[in-house]
Amino acid sequence: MSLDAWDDPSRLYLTRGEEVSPHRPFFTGDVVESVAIPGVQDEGAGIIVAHPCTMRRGPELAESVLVAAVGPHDEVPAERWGRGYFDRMPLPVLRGEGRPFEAASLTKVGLVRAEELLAADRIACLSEVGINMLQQRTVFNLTRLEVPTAEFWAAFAHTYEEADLLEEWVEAGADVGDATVLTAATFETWLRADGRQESLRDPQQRASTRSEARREIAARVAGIEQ
Amino acid sequence: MSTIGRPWSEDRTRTNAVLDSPVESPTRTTQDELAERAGHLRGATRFLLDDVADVHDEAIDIQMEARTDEAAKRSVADLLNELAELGFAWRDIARLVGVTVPAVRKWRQGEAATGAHRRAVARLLAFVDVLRSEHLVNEVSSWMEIPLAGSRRTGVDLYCDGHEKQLLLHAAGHLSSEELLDCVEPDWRDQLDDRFEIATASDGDPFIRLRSEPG
Repeated sequence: MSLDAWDDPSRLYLTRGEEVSPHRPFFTGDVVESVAIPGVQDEGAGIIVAHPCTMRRGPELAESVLVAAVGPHDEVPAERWGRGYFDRMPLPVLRGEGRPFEAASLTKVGLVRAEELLAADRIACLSEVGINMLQQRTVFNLTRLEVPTAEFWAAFAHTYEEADLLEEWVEAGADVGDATVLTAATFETWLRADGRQESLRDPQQRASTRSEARREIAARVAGIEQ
Repeated sequence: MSTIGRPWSEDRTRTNAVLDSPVESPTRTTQDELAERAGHLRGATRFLLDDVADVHDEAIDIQMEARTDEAAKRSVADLLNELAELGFAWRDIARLVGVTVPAVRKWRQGEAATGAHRRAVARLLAFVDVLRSEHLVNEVSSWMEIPLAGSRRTGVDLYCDGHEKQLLLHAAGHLSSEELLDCVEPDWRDQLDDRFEIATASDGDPFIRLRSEPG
């Protein structure tokens, strides 16, 4: 067996540091600074390990979300993570190139209240590559079942799509100073209508749903600007 | 006197020719000549096919360069908007161009891209343009996202790995999905994994389970 490793560590991240968009919904694989995890740590970095399908209630975060502690770790080469350290998720270059190696401990987990998470400083968002790897390691650590990362992608790619489109939707609203027409709530309503959420589950229909979302955003922005 | 209508046995010359000389088993020389000519034709045809393939490859290069030159006249933000209207995900655009999602976001907001990046975006749009106009691929983004030949590899993956031309040949019908993967990743079949399947749980969300029978 061998769990996935990485060729280029930066590919594990969608955004880091100042690149993180404040408009992106909190999602699996987001790393936050200074968060208390009951029974684990009073303060420190943490990564959301909750599954995308269970961490939200409609447009809002669930009341509490499963988070694992993140901290410094010996620098271990990529290839060794495939065959060991199963209770950890490597987070190389988390704070940039040349900065100390860090890792999440998949045994130091606890529920963090949504308000606390939302108030914390988000320092990184994992990419789909990183999230799939996090899920693979979490499942292996808990069950000793090795699931190829491609299966996580095939099963849950639609949730990453939803997060991407929600970010685009809310960002467009923020760009025109809107707080009512292009919000997480209006996106949720739009997405649930006319089978759009189901369309995102079908790889063949995703692109047309994306196009439709962008046309809708453009129409709403035009309406706001009139 | 004509020999036509006479029994063959009465015309020794012709009878001998029919009965004794090996008409139904031609001479060794004739067999060899025939095999040699067929082999020569086969070789010539192969060389011809190779030459045609080379010319086609060159034509594709010229076509792509010309369309890239044309697209590169437009602003990067404009090119990106067209790709977005076609349904491409920003993260896929970033991968296809070889940059990060934040870099693409900055270009959308009007920040200048380097010459190489501008050309990479123009090249991607040129590729999409050829697929649409020459090979009648209607929804290019969808076409690029569909897994190929039962594998998990997609057109996006192959483009990112530099197999633009093979994708165009696939779109043109010169390569099937299997032939395309054979061409760019000869061991792709060894990587197929049918131990798992995706199903829908009672809450409406998908889940992963072991297959009861291998697919």
